[in-house]
Parts: sequence; structure tokens; C-alpha cells
Amino acid sequence: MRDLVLEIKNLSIRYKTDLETVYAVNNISFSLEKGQTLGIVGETGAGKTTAALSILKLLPERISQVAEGEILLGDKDILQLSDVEIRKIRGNKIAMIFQDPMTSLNPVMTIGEQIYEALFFHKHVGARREDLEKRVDEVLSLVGISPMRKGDYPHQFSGGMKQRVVIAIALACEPEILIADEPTTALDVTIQAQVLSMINELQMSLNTSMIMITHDLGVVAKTCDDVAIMYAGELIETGTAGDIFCSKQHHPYTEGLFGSIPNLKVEARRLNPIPGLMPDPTIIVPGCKFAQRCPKAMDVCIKVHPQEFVRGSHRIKCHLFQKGRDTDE
Amino acid sequence: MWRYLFRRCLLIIPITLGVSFIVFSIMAITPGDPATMILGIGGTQEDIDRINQELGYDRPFLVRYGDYLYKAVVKHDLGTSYQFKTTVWSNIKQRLPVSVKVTTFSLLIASMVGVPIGVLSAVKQYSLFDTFPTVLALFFAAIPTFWLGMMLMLVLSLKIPIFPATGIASWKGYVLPSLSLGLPFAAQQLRFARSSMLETIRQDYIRTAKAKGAPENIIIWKHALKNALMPIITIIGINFGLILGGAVATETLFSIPGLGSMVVTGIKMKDIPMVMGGIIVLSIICSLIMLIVDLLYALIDPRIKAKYSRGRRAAI
Repeated sequence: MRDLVLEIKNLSIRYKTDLETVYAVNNISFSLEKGQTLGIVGETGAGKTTAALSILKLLPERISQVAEGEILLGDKDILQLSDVEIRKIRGNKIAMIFQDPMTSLNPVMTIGEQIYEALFFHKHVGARREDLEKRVDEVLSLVGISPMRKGDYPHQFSGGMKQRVVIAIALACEPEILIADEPTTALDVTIQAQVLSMINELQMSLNTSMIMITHDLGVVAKTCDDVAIMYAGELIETGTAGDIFCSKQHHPYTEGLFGSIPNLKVEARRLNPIPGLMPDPTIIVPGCKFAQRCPKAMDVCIKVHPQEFVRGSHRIKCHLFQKGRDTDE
Repeated sequence: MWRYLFRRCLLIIPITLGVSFIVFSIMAITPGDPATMILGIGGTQEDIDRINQELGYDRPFLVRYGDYLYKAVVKHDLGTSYQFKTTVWSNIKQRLPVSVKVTTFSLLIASMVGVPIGVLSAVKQYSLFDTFPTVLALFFAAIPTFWLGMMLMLVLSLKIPIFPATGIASWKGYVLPSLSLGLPFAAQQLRFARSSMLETIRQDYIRTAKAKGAPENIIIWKHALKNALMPIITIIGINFGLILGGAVATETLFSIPGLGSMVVTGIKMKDIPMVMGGIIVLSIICSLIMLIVDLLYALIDPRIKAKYSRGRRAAI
């Protein structure tokens, strides 16, 4: 039996405004195992961040609406929790690393104070200030920042260092689950590698489960055990890293993603992007959402929503692999 | 930091000189002369010339200005009022504390009412806590101060005699004028606090604070308000100068001997020393208030403090 820490079932999220309804996340299901890393990959606007924020109930209250689904943490459905209950989970059991370290830290508070707060909100009764301060020093050394600098303000740090502080805040309470929402997108390439390997090491040593949201397949290859590919609010392909990177069968969108990575061994003049744009998220289409851009699209793709094709741990939502066809290869 | 402070204090000198020159010029180029105003309609040309000569008004403009500056700077003499025959300084000494008190009380009322309600209406945007104060703020911002003063007087001193209608014999005399000045400014501060908070609570670091598990009141009053405070402090500083010298209608209505009415009567009576003295004092106080506002910025935001210390920011 797999040791699941988080399970998301049939989650659908909409943004409702007076003018239109945006179907941001449509009926996605995935689960996270203890100590494992799940990568959620997709292009901008695919609904990755929306899905991630819903796990902490951090979606904008007025306009977002969870239409259906469950987010199970143990036996509790996070979506049903009260404000007080979810507050005990945020930062304590589930922590999040945000995309842009430049804006994620409060500019008028010292970094020490910001880390201290994360501990303070979840301290045990009777915990003394000195103990918490000691833990702040510990966490700072853990992410490679000298505890001497805890009295400094965010503007005194570089981008990579700020992201370390953000990670320190997230890890302060040793959460069971870490959600990293494109943690390296705002950083330059050399710092990206540093931050990624640091996140990985810390995750290993603390045995934290992690959801890594990214649009960078390189990051996924480096860090993830399982991969889910997201397109227009749906998970179109899921599987282990082996399934995604080594298997011959893929959703055409996944193939497109791999195809758009520049290959150093082949001489090419231009990059190889997937033509077209993601469909308008305010319109529900009956068929496959990728059909308009898909080079292998058939008549059925436009009319019928594809079912999931399952082979072991590998699941693909595409008409190419429907029953009777999966024996082709 | 100290260098910055010293430089800013030095800057007050050219500002005050500039203000004095502009005011002196305006008083000189506007029609009329002091003697005519003193003597009234019945004065003969002979009398007028004689009195103007006594006052030194017959000399050229630059000579008069130079003479004024010389006396003010070297002899610390702001001159004698044409109309009252008392020294300008004695008038200012009498009126300045009154004006400062009224202004401080009004702003205390304004910020104690305006800022918390503004914050609340931003946090509860589109709810009743937002729309009701907004409508009320619109009302108070739209009505003239003197009308509000009259209504307050009518209700709180004639119908229900709690506060005196006029005069400042005791602290009670300050209540109605401060209210009638403060409420419209409360409305203004409410709008500033609201829009500044609305911008702040959408920032990424507020989301970070939520993700840490921070309770809502800590997010609002600790994380957000401190960041949203800058525009609010700025508007309070500007309001201070506005009320200090500009509360003429309220001062007249409640018979308060303040600086604003002193300057306005001075302008009407062509009482040049009185106008000059009043406005120079006002401009020095306004410069000091702006300096305090800038120092408060540094206190709130470490980024600005760092700039001051490096001495890169010299402008007002």
C-alpha cells in the first residue's frame, strides 16, 4: 500500500466575475506519496498555480469557487476546514515557496522576524522566545545564510538569497508537504541550480513530500519522482518520471513540450514551439482541448472528450490510445 | 542620517527666503496702499502721502524688502502691525499656540476616525463596511466646513448645551472647531487609507504571510498597514499645513484668534508686516512638518532609511 500524504480528487476550480466564468482547473486528480516529489508541468495559464493555491485555501476569496472535488490531507478534507483550522495547517503541515522572491518578502520586516513569525504562529504551548530564536538561527544556517544577518531587511539580499529566506520560512516548521510554485523561475540559471539542489537536499533530509510546479522539464527531470502534465486546466498525462521521460507513448502535447526544448546535438536555426495558443478558458469545449493545436487530431478529438488510457502507472488522456489502439506499439 | 537632517534643516533657509520674497512682491504689486486702508474713504491725499511716508511705503520695492529682511534677520524684528500698532511677533505669539492646538486636535480626530475605518473598508471591500463609510466620507468631503461648523454649533451647543458656541476659554471650546475641521479631513484620510490598503493587501508578501498561517488581524495591522502607511502619513502632513493657515472660515465662525484669520485680515487691510510675519512662520512650520514626515518614512521603511544614510536624497 502506498503511503499517501495528500490526495486530490476530481478538483474543479472556477473564477467567476460579473462578465465571465473562467474554468481554471477542470476535474483533476492526483496524489502525493510520503517523501516523494510530484512535478506539475504546463505552460503559463494552465492552472498550475490555481491548483496549488487551493491546497492551502489561498485562492482569492471573492471570485474563486471550488466547484467540486476533495483535497484530502490524511482523512480531513481541506476544503471543508474552517479558517482557524486551515491556519493551523498553513506553514505548519503544508508550506509553500512562491515564484518571485523579490516580492514574496515583506520589505519592512527583518528576515529574522519573518522566519520567527512562521514558528511563532505554530509554537507549542510553553515554547520560549529563546528557543524559537535558536530555531531561526538553525533554519538560516540550513539554507546557507549566516544567522548574523537575521536583523537585515529583504532589500539587503540578492534574489537568490531572498529565495533562500523564502525557503527558510517554508521549512521552519518542518512541514510534511512543501509546495514549490516555480521556485526558480525568477532566478538566473546559475542560482537556479543552486536553489534546486538545496531544495532537494533539504527535502531528502527532512523526508518532506513535495509538489514542484514548473514549466521547465529540466527541473522536473532533476527533481521529480512523479510527473503530471497539465494543459488548459486538465491533467493530460501523468506517470512516474520514467514513464514521462523514457516511455514511447505520449500525449501529443507532451511530445510538443519535449520538441520545444532546444537540442544541442542537432543543428537547428530556430526553436521549435507548439503552434497556436491555449484555448479560451471561459469556453467549455466538448472534445479534447488540445485538438486545435494537435498535429495528430482526428474527427473524434473535436467531438468527444477523451478518456484516460492507463498502462501501469502511466495515464494519458488522448484518443490515440483508446482501447483497441494501445496494442499498436 | 545626521548629515541628512542637518542638510534638510539648512534647506529651510532658502525656502523661507523664497516665500518671503514672493509674498512681499504680491503685496507690492496688488493695488492699494496701507495709508488708504488705515484712513478709510475720507482721507485726503496729503494725509495718505504723509502716513505712507511714515510707514516707509514711499521707498522703492527692493529697498523696502531689503529693509524688512535686515530687520527680521539681524534685529529679529518682524515689524509693527499697521492696523493694531502692536508688534507682529506679539500677535503671532498669541495666535500660533491656538492654531497649533486646533490643528493638532482636528488631525487627531481625522486620523483616529479616518485611518481605521479606511483600513476596515479596504479589508471588507464591497461589503457594508465598505459602502457605508464610503458614502459617509463622500458626504463629509462635499459639505463646506463652515456649514458643518454651524450645524455642530446648532446641535451641540444651542439645542443640547454641552460645548460653548464660540471662544476658547477652556478645552471645551476646542471641541466643536476641531470636529468641524477634522471630519472632512477624516473623510479624505479614509479614502487614502482605503486605496493604499487595497493596493497593499494584494501584494505577494501578504500571501506569504497567509501561507505562514498568520491570523487575519496580524496580517492587516502588522504586515499590511505598515506598508500602507506612507501615503497616509504624507496626506496627514499636507493637511497639517492646510489647516494651520487655512482654517479661516472655522476660526471666524467660532471666534478663534488663529493664524489664518490674522493673515487674511492682514491681506485685506494691506497690513504688510502682519502678512509677512504670519506666512513666514507658517512656511517654517510647514517645512518642519514635511521634515518630520520624511523622518517618519525612514522610521517605517528601512529602504528609505538606507537612502538617507547614503545621503543620496536631498530634495524635499
